[in-house]
Amino acid sequence: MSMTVFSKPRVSGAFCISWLVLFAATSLKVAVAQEANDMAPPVRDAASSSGSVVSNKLHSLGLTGSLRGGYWSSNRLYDDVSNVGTGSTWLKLDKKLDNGIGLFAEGFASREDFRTGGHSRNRIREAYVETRSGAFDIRVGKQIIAWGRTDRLNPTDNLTPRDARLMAADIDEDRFGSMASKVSWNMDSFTSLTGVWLPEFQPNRVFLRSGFSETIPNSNRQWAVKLDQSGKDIDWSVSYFDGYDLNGDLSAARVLQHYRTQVIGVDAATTRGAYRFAVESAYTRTEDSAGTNEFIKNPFLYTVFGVERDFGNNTSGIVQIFNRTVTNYSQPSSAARFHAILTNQLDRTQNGISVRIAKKWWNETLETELSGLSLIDRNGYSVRPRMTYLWSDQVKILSGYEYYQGSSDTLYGLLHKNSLLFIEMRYFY
Amino acid sequence: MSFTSMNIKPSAYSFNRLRMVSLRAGLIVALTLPAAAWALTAVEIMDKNFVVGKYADSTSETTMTLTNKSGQQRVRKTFGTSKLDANGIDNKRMTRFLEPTDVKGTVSLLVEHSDKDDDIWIYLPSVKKVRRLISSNKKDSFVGTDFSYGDVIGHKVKEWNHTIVKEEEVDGKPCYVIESTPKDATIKTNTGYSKRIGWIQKDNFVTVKAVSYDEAGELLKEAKYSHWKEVDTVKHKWQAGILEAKNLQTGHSTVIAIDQFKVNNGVKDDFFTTRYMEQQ
Repeated sequence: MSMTVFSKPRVSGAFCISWLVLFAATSLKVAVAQEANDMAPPVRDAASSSGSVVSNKLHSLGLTGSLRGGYWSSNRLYDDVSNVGTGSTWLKLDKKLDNGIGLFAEGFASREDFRTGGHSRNRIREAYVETRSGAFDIRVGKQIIAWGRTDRLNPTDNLTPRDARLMAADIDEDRFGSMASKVSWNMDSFTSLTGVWLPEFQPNRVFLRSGFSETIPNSNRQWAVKLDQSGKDIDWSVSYFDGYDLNGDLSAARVLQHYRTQVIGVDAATTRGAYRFAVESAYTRTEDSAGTNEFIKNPFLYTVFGVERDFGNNTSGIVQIFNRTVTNYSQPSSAARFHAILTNQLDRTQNGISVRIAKKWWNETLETELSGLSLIDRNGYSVRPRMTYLWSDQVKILSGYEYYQGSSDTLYGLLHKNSLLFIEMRYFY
Repeated sequence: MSFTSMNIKPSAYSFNRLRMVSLRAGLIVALTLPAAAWALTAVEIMDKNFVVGKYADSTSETTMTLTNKSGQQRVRKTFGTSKLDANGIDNKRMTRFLEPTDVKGTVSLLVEHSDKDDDIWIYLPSVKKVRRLISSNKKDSFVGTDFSYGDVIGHKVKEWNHTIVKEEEVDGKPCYVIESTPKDATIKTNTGYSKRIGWIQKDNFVTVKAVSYDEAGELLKEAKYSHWKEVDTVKHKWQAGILEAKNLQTGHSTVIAIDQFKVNNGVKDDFFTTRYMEQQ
């Protein structure tokens, strides 16, 4: 089947690279003008440092980065392309000025699929300034906001998007930021109240087949608030988000649309002996509260509960169960069946289990992990073994396998073509 | 011999004189008594050893050099703060990684509790979140070094049986050699040690050398602590400038050099919060 890619670049590659250069130049000026600050001690002199002279110069400016090259047995575009070569450079600026203002920016420029001519993918993942004023922390700019305390399945994590198309070897590198203003009021050493205003909406990035399109709302009406306590016996939070659905709903006209949602969520985590317990739950109210429109999600409750066990010898395991319960559920018509599969609303309830076993070897130079997820009520699962080897402080090798399998009425069945093997080498500078 | 048996009626002068003689005699006796009569018990020595590094607060910069069996090195640089709890036993410790690039920005926060499990949180810049970690296991490597979490925190004296094995000199300094064995199987499992032997300097109670045995009783690690400095001359608190450990079973070794170290700076509580960890 022939598939084409729907691509809607929000930021051009040239713009991204310009941003990186601008930040580097700004950092250089700042470094010349300022003295070392108290909070982040100066990097030691070049002679005693482990990196190259160039690296040490960059580090003194607050710049770090990596060059990456990889092989992927497939891409993440749900097509039949195989044997994909990738190359990219990542750059990060992390600088605190002596007036207490912090500058942070990170972006990458990449080239994928050399064999067929390739295409570029460039992005500023984050670019923000932050400062503290008494009990208040303020962060303004493009930023990733990650919420939730369970492991990788986070019902309360609805503010900033991911790019499912990205050939990212590290989990969470597919995240990128949205423009936002975030203010945290630290009421005491443990409790904070955070308010977020998102003046733009950035959806999750997915590739759509030919004939599909996407409508992205242009709205500055997104906000969230979270009361959080960390540092006592139990870490917990209560949060509320009013904004657009990152995933969207697929209409009968094959248009991916993002409707407003209101999400109220809670999470908590604690440890007892060799165990860690975490729970996270969110109720999402959608624009189809009555459940009358088959092409808009019904409201739903999504809950994850997990137990982690430390086995010693740098070995740990996590088991999580999850449940999605749809309110005002009705059996989808055949026309709406695909939408129901994509939105995990084919059934009134969806139950599943995820497992992750990880071990570190050789003084943490080698890390291995086997993770998997399976639906309980339907045939759908994924298995993801991964290995990371730190060859030296400068060179790291990542490899892994992602396998998706299931019946055609599950996301895992649909994702089968995204099963892939990869190996990537990184040089840090 | 008492005053009365000598049939001397002591005047005020003679009484004072006699008292002086008596004190001098007592001092001479005290100095010439066998060492055993004045010796501290093993537990008392370990108690003093435990508190000799407990300063009110500290800030430090360290360089950790990790060397594998074939000589390949990795270098990690950190900035850390610590603050002692009001009970004088438990510390809060924050460690921020400055280098290498791969781990830069990672921050760990350890809050010790003498009466229950410690609390550990970690902030990973790639995940953008602070995560609470399981802390009961003290035997795992501290950030890939050859020191375990238990070694870094300090093993609780009351959880071990201590015996003075002998006394000997290390680098010309007389030391107590104390053998410590876990009081129960849980301590053994959680620390990974069936026995520890420490060479504790007699004059200031700092550990200058240590060896430890794994749960099967095999020799596991040897450690050396040198370049000691009295960082608090009022309360007589000491800090080693170089900490070395070698895993004798794997051949991997670690040298931790304290590049900068300050105590009693009035370190703010803000450092020991998840708020601080999340700041880039």
